[in-house]
Amino acid sequence: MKLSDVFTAPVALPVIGADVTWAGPNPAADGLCIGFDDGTIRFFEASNNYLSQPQKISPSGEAINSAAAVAKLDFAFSTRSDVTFIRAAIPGQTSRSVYRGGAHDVVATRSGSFVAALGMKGLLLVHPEGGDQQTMYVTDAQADDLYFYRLAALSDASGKEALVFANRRGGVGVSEFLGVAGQQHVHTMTFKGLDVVDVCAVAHDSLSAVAISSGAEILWIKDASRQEDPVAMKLQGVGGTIYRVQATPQHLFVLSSDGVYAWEQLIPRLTDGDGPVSTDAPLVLPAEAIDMSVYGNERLLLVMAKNTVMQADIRALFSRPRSEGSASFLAGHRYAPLPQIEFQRFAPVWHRSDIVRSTMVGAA
Amino acid sequence: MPFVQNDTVHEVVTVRRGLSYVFTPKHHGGGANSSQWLPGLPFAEEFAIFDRADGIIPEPPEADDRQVADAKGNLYGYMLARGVALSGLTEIGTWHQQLAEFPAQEGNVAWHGYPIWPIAPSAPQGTRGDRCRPERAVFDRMFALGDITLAQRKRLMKGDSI
Repeated sequence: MKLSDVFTAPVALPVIGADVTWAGPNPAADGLCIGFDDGTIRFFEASNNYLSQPQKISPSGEAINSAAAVAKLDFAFSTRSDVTFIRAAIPGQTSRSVYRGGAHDVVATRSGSFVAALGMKGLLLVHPEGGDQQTMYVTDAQADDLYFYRLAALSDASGKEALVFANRRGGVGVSEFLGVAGQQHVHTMTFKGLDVVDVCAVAHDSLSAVAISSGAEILWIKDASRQEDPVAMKLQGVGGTIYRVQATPQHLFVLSSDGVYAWEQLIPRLTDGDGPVSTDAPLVLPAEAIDMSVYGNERLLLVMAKNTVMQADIRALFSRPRSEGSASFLAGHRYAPLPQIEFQRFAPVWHRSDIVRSTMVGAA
Repeated sequence: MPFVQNDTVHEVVTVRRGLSYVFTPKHHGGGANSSQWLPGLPFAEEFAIFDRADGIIPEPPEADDRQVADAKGNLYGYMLARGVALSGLTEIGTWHQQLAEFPAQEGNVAWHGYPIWPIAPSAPQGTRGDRCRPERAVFDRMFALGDITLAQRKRLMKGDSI
């Protein structure tokens, strides 16, 4: 099975000009928000195939690497050089403020704050106020060597909020989110050789999350507001450099430099019991993609190396005959069938730390 | 880890231009807020990264040099994962850096280098955060040399690991 058998390009982007580097849902309409390598964004509306003109976001002109929205009012866009906050109160009238430092990732919490991962600098926390002045909180630098690479914001039905972090060799970090001001307590869990490169939520109204390492170890976090060790298991058959993990309440998706791997109904099996997890071989789709996101638990988005966003309906993805896509990569991009595989949970020796970082307040 | 207490000039110079190289305490165990070379990376390997950044001339008849530099003459170096082109880059810094910067030097002054941040640190107002991150032309050069794929180039431009 080829990628083009199940993925389509929902929007035609110009061949010449800025190159797409990030894509996610359009917060205002059914469609996409697309970020480009020159620091601009464009909105696409699927209902009428409307693609907005480029809007300059990043003052540095760097590539958009992440974006988040609170309601349809406040937006945050990150690049490796700055994080821009925009309030669009009235069409045509926006206010913006800029944090002049790079971030790997930015997310929005249910309570309406933004949190960005600043690498070794820690976290940037902002509760949008609008106007040209914005209070920003940055965690103080510590010698704890903890690196914040990616993060996910979680919440349950009661309104309790938590953050989960990909802390690279620091492992996975969890933190109950109590607001942007004050201290940020992060409980980290790692083991020898672990390098966590991505985390994701699995469902709305859930404090569960999945993390993935560069070595294709999956960490299942049952409740990110609690300090329980994750369930660890090794994903077999994944080739290339691991880039992203995404999940729905049922399915798991991994993007590597080789392509997309999709496990149908794996998430419920992770949560049940303590024994081995049996699953069908993953659906494997070779792709040169740089980023991946799940859209409304229904669609999978890929940002391709060549100026394209590809989209697939997740149900359609798994409705294909399994034999078409159950394959593993071999050298030279040839494929061989994979048998049904069993993921064995393993019990690493966890090293746990509790980090407290104070926040410094500033305005921009 | 090869800690350095005093500036230590390497006994070997680069193949292409004969540049000398100095290992500095600041980036070898000193300065908690300074970029650090990865523990366990031998001096010889650090210098090899610099040597390749300066552009070792391949065996004839190829005359093309493989220098990776920005418009200001700063050099950029890296290690290919498993030594194989297009398979990613090896981490060389304690903060997961995969590139090293070697600021251009005048005259016969020895060069030095440090792993460069994948993302820019926060900068004081007015400095615009332009420090500590390579120009995108550097990534274009790495792609043109066949060392990284188009996808890897785009990920580096975003501040992502490859």
